[in-house]
Amino acid sequence: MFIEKCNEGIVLKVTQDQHEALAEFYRGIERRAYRMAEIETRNASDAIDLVQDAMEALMQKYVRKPPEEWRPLFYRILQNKIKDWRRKSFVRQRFHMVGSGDESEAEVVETQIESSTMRPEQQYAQDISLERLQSALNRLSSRQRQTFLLRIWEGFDVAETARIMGCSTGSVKTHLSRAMGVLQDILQHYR
Amino acid sequence: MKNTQDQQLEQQLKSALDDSVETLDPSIQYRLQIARAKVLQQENDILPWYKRWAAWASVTGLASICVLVFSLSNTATLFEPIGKELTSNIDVNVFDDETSIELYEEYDFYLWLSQQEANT
Repeated sequence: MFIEKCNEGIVLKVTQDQHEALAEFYRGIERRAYRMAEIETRNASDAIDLVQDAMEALMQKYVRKPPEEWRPLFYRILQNKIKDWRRKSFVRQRFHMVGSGDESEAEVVETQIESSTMRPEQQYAQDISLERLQSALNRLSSRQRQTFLLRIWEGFDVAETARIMGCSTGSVKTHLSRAMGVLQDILQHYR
Repeated sequence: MKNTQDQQLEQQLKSALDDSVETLDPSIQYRLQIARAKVLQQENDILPWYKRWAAWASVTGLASICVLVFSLSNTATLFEPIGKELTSNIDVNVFDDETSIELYEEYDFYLWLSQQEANT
């Protein structure tokens, strides 16, 4: 970042390097972020929207932070967006339940079709493991799922995970321990 | 401490998730690229925070000046005595004459006197 003088006074300007660094960061993280959001929403469009919203929020509020802080900040924003989505979708589901049952069934089918994001030639080979994984992850509570994905998949340490989730380190350890217990039971049963 | 089984499970799950990312559908990857491009394009259009504050301060200041000018232009009428119009047409010379005052004070006497003169 550099400071330049102009007619309006002293101006803080995002450099071209920062812009490129941000673009590179997004390029590296977007697919994993998408997968994380899609596991929660089970809907490709919603997941893409959540990732885009998280990118916007990071850029608007935190672009001037050091680049090494972008990753935990981005995931924190993404988790908050997912939480908001979950609240809205709960309200939407309540309204749908008041309406006809046929409509909700159609929606479920549409969701299932849209959530299939594998290439066709990979689908059969991956079907078992991804399907099992999705099914197993769905059995976890949202906090357990969050903790598992951030700690185990993304490799954040306990303190970072706690900051991202906005909870204590003790909670992170508890959630993870329970998550691993449930996953162990489910996946052993499949074997 | 993690046991071997836990570590194995973690590794399997991580691999499954990593594979699912590597084999993401091209249409999804394309949509993600579009989303990223839109977000980065917006960076050029966003006003920095100090410019937003300056804009709001200008609008507020202008509105305050308008209100002030409007209120000052009506100030003279605001401070005029209330009821001035009511009293402006009243003749205030009724009690200027001392004779008139005496007449009103002794009104009953003069009324009686005039009645006596009328009887005689």
